[in-house]
Amino acid sequence: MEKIRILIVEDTVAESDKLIETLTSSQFEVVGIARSHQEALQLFYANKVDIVVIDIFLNGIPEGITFAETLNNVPESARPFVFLTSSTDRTIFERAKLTKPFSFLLKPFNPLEVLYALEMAIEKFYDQPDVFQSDEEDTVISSDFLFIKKKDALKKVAVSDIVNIEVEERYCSIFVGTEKFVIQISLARITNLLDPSKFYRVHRNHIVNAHEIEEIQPSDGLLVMSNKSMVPISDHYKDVLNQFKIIK
Amino acid sequence: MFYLNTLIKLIKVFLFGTLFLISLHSFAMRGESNKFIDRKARKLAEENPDLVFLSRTIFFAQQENWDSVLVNTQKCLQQVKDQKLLDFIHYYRAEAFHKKSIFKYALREFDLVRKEFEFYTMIQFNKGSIFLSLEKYDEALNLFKSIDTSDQKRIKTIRIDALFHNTGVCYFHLSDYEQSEKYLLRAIHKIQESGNNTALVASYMDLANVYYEQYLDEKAIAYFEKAYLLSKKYGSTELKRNAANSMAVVEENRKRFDLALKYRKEYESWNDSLDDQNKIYEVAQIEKRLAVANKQQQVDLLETENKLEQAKVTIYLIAAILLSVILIFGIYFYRQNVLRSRVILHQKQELDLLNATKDQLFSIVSHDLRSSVHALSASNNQLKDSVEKQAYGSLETQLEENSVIATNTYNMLDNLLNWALLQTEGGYFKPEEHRLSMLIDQVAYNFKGVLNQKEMAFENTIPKSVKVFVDAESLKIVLRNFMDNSIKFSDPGSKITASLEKEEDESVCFNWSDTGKGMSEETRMKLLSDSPQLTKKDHEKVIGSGLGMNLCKSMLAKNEGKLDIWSRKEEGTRMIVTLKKVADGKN
Repeated sequence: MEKIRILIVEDTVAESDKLIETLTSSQFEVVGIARSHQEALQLFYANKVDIVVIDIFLNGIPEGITFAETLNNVPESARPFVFLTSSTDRTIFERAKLTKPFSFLLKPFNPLEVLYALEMAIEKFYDQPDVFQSDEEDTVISSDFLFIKKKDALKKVAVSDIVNIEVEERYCSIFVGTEKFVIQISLARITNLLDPSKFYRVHRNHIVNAHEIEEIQPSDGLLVMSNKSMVPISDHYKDVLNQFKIIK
Repeated sequence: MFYLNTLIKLIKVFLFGTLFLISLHSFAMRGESNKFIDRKARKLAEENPDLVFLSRTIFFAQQENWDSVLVNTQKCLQQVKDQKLLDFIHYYRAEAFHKKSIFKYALREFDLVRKEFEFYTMIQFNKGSIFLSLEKYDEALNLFKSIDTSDQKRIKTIRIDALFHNTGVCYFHLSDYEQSEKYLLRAIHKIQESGNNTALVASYMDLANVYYEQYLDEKAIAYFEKAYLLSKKYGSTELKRNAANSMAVVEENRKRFDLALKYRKEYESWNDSLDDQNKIYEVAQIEKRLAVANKQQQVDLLETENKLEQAKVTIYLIAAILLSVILIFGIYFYRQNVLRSRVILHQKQELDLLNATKDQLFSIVSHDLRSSVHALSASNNQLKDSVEKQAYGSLETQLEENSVIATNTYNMLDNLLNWALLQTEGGYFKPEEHRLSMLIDQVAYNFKGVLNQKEMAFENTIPKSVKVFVDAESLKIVLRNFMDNSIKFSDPGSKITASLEKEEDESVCFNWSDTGKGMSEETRMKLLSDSPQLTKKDHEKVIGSGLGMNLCKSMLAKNEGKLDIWSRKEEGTRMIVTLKKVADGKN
């Protein structure tokens, strides 16, 4: 599991220090602190960023909103972002609202509130609401990452790294290399959200990443994955194998 | 010879006159030959009582009101489909046209009558008469000859004498004098039987003309004389004049000029009388015209007066409408004004109250703020002294004190800001679905230190699954105040609990309870009352403005939630909050 990478756009050093402290203690990785719009753009494109925390007012002008608009307008750069503000001024809020922010974080904030705001931003951005707060599920799936809530911290797993997934009731065991993570997600949702051209269901309880299959043993009904684990194939899902060119 | 020629011409002119007279004459006496057809038609009209127009037609025909006949038959034609009835209607139309001398249409209508029509003889005779009038003698003669004179029943429908006479006239014009004489004699014979002297005069004159044309002067003169004598007794002025003129011409030819002169004079006199008649008629016409003009003038005058009257009425009406419109507008604006002033009055009262609240608020806040900042500075001075004296043992407690004062002051300022924003509607407000337990945890997180310091415990037993539809920040303000109050009024070691009361389909109710000092019933009622007036707390020792509870109420109201308070002195307080669970379309 990797840490979630956050870019902070905040001009006040005291505020950003406090934020960095809160975020690091909540196991996030701060990839950069931008002091202006210009710097923010630079840092955003120079780093791989998962979430951006933006202060509305940069150097006394609402430049944060301009940056948020830039993020929204370029499809490749669309990321969940959180507006950080102490202002309760209505007009600025109305303007900020137009950029469809994914959540607001009001100063002063405590770690719980920061975590909540970031969770909300991820849920809203990937349109999978009410995941992290529920007791049933803890994972939001984007095309590149699984965002997983573990205790009071958010982590991510790159989708392309997943070798295979084993489903057991409400839990899924995700195998990344030799590691194994247990997440809470329903089978229906995980099959819906994963790219069907990369992930095949080969068994009632097994989903595999097609790129990670090393060997097919049709006689035994087994797949050998890149991490040497064996995944069974049930008759019902045997058609999946037709998608590979098998040299006999 | 030349003389004779002119004479013949003259006679021919005369003949024309008589001829017309006869053919018209034969028609003029309606009733004798027409009574059969009228009787028959009326019978048919009685059989078909719905044909009102038919009976009207017959009535008007008997009245010889031909225009009305035309109008009514026109309507009949649209109604009637029966051929037998149609024959009658066409006949009446033809007769009307004939009488109005519109021969073309009369002929057309006659042609529309079927040959089987029981009065077809009449049709033939009338058609013949029309051709005679149009000087188409061959056609006329053909028609007259086609009439079977031996059929007694049919012949009864027309006047046989008129038939013979007209046939004779036709022959005369076709210069067949022999036949002409024969028919005219037969006509005279028939007329003598019927005793119609006027017709007799005409017939005599026609016969005389026939003879005269053949230069049988003896016979001609005899008939002229006969006609003349008879005309003196019975004939109309015109007949008398024609007879006298004929005699004059005849006598002149016989070179008996004295007699001729006498006849001529007679002719002149008849002519004069006819002229007189014409003159009288003309005068009557002029008078009539004058009278009509006079009447027209009167009518015009009346019309103008009427118009004037109308204009007057219109003006009055417009004036009345205008006045009423003004009145209505007046009333409307007056009412608006009254309503507006009422609204203004209401607003003024509200404003006064708000202003009073504001003043009160300022006095409290300035007092509290002053005292707390003063306390802080005093405490800081003490701290400085302690540091100078190097009495480090008491530093920690003093710092704790400072921190408490600072936190309280901050909370008060925060409430003040929120209250101001609420009054100016300036705050950001966006209800969304949130997990209640989560929000309470977030608020409680900030109070961890204070709770620890006072050795108090906080427990949130609300299940994670409970969701509410609120604006998160405003609910947090409420919860913060609850927490603040509970901590302020509780003894160390006590416990604060947030618990779910009940969850319904559309609302969630939760309790916030402490085991603190509680409050009196009076204070409770004041806190819950709707007035924006701030409530002074029972516990004067503890700083506070009463602003917090007021803010809580307003914030909950804005979230469409409700607040109730349960409290007993020395037992504790329980805030009972009801919140909406789902969006209700508005958002």
